[in-house]
Amino acid sequence: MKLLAKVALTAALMSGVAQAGVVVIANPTGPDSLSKAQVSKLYLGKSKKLPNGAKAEVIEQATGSFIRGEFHAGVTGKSDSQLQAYWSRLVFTGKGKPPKTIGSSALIKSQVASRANAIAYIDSSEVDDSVKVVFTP
Amino acid sequence: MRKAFIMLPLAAACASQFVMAAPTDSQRLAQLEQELAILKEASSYDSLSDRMSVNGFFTGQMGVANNDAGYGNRPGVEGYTSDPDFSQGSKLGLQGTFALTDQTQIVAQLVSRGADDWTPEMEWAFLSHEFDNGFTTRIGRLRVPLYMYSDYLEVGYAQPWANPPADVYSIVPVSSYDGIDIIYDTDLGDASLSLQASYGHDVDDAEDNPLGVDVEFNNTIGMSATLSYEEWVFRGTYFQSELKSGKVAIPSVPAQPFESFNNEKAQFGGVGISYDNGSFLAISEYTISQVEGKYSDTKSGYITLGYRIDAFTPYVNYSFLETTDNDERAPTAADDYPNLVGSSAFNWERTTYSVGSRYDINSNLALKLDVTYATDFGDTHGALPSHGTETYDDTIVYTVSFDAVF
Repeated sequence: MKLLAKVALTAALMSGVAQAGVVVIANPTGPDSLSKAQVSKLYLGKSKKLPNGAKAEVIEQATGSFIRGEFHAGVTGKSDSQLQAYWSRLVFTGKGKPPKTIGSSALIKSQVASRANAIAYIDSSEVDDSVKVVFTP
Repeated sequence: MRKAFIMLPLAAACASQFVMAAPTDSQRLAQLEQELAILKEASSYDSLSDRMSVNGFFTGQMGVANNDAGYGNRPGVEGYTSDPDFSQGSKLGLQGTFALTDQTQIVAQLVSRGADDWTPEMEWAFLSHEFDNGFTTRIGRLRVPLYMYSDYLEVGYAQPWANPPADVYSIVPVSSYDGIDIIYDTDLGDASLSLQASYGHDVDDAEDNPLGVDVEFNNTIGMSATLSYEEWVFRGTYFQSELKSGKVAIPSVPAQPFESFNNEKAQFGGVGISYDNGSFLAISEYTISQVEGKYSDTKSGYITLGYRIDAFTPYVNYSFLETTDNDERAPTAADDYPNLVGSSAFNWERTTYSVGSRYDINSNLALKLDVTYATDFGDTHGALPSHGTETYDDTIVYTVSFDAVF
C-alpha cells in the first residue's frame, strides 16, 4: 500500500515536471522580455520584427500538439482551426505565411540556441542555459 | 535455484542484444547527425523551400432549392433550383508564391470553378514589393477590395458561411482587375491601420452577367481603410468606375430599359464592422451602389451572428437588397422604353434569412450546412432570373459545402 502511494506520488511529481507549463524562449543574445501582445503579434504575423528591429524567426510547434494548443489558448486565443482560417486569409492574398513548424522541442531549442533572432515556445521543464525565457503566459 | 535458472536465459538474451546493439548505436548516431544536418538546412531561412510555396483551397458544394426561382450569387444569373446542383458553388484554387528577395515576391492564383466547367482562371497574378517604411505596392491582376471578405472571396475555409451573403456580395459583377495598388500599414498604439489605394480596369464577360454583353469597367479607382483593434475590425471603402458596353441583350426581356453603357459613372461605397473574441462572432456590412442612367442603383446590408461551441460554429444571417432608383425606370407615355417587364427586370427587392453551421472536421477541412430563405420581393422579381412568365414569392435554398485548405 505504501509502495503504491509512493509510485502514485512519483508519477504525479513526474507528470508535474513534464507538464510544468509553456514558456516563450529566445536566444541568449535576444530580447530580455516580451509582452503577451508582442508575442501574439509575432505569432499572428502582425509584426515581423523583434523590439531591436531585427527580423524575427518565429517557430511553431506541430499542429495538433498539446503544447501548441496550450500556447495559443494562453496567447492568441485561437484554436488550430481558427489559426488555419486566419492564416489562409493571409496566404491566399499573398500577405503573409505562417511561422515555420518544427515538430520536436529538442530541435526547436537547438534552433533557438543557434539563431540570434529566433522566438519559440517549449515546456518550461525543457528550458536550460542555451536559451532564455522571455515570456510566461 | 529456480530463480537463477529463469534469470540465466534472460541475462543471456540481454547480453546478446547489447553486443548486437553496440555497433548499430554508433551507426544510428551518425545517421541521426546527418538527419539533423538535413533538417537544419531545410529550416534555414534562405532555403529554396522557404522562398517558394504552393498552397491550395477547395470547395465541394451541393445546393438545391424548394422551387425554380434560381436564387444564386449573382443578380439575374441562374442560381440553385429544385435540381440538386454540384457545379456552381464548387471550386479549386492553387496558388504559388515565389519570393524574389525578402521584400519582393510574385503571387499567382488559379481558380477553377464548376460553374465555368472547371476552366482555370487567373484571379491573382502580381508582383509585390514591400518597402521599409510600411508601404507595399502590387502590380498585375488583383482582387477588387470592395468588401470585408473580397480578398479571400473564394476561400470558403476562411469564411463562417457556406456562401457570402449574396444580397451584398453579388452587387458588383467583377471580383478581380488588372492594375496597381499601394497599401500602407501602420500601428496606431495597439490598433493597426491599413490604407489601400487601387487603380485599374476589367471586363465582365457576357456569359457571366445578365445583360448578355461584355461590360468594360474602365478607370476604376478606389480607396479602402481597415482599422483593427483587439477583437474589432472596422472598414470603409469607396470605388468608382466608367462602364462601357455594346448593345444590351437580355434574352427574356424583349424591350430593354436601356441600350448600352457609354462611359456612365458607377460608384460604390461600403462600411463594415466585425467582432470576434474567439467564441462570439459578429459581422455586418452596408453598401450602396449607383450607376448613372437607368441601370439599377442599390442599397444592401447584412448582419451575421455566430457562436463557437467546440468544433461547431452555428450562425444566423439577415440581409436585404433593394434598388433605389425604380422611379427612373417608371414607364410613362413619354418614356422611350415603356415596357413594364423590361423596366422591372432592373427593380430588385428582397430580404434573406439564413441559418447554418460550420463544423471543423479537422484543422484544414470544414463542413457547412445552410438553409437560406429569400422573400419580400414586393413588386419585383427579387433579383432572380426571369423564367418567362413565372414569378415566385419566395424561395428556400439548402446548401452543403465541404471547404478545405492545403
